[in-house]
Amino acid sequence: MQIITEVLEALDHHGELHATELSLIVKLSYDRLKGVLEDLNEKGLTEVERLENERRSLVIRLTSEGRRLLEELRRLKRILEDYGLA
Amino acid sequence: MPSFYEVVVLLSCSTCLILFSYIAYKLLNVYRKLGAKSLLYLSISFLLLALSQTSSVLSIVVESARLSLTFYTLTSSLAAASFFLIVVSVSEEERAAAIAPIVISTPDLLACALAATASVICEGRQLRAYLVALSMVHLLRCFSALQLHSDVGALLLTSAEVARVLATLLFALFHVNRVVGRE
Repeated sequence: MQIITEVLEALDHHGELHATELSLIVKLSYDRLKGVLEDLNEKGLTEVERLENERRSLVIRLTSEGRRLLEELRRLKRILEDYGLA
Repeated sequence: MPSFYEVVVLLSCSTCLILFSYIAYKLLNVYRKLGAKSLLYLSISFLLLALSQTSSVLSIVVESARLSLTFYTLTSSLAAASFFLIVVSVSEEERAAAIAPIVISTPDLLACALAATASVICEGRQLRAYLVALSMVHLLRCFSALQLHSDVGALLLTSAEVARVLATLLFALFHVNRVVGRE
């Protein structure tokens, strides 16, 4: 829960991020982050785009559904913190 | 015509029912999108608290004594189930810290209930008073064990222990006096 909230917050704050940048911000290994992102993508909360540059790197951004969920999470933040879930 | 007590309890319970249901709904919404089980547990725990309030309202409203007693006991059973789910839903670190006080305090809770029951069954005003005192002391011990992680926990535990020793000493002296004392 805490990781998911941090990932969503980081994406909302920066607009879009490379996976490596995101892993540095949320202090999570790339492998663990990959699993979290796959899960969020499956649920339609984030989307991944492959850039048409030389390295064909991937950028991740929030979907409108992800933004809506983040709003809900922000509203529940204090109660989730009280129960050690955020 | 409902009494003032009934109106106050009914209004409070109904408000709690609405508020708990709202929190449960909000948590369930986020769970549906994220799928984190801890959110589901927390949501159900608030739903159970809402049901507990419904049961409390019903225990006052129904006319049948049997049904009223059933709803009365159901109120605390549902609340207990809710609190259990809260313990399950919190993070593993907090859960480990929560389990120990529960295990430590359970015998005191049982002792409190049994001493209170004995005080109702037994004859003799003095004996009843001692049993009620013992029951209260065990309740205090139970409460202090549950507050072990708070700042006042140690102070409460020390006070409860002193109170228990004194109450037990008086209880023992009372019995000895009954055996060897004069009429």
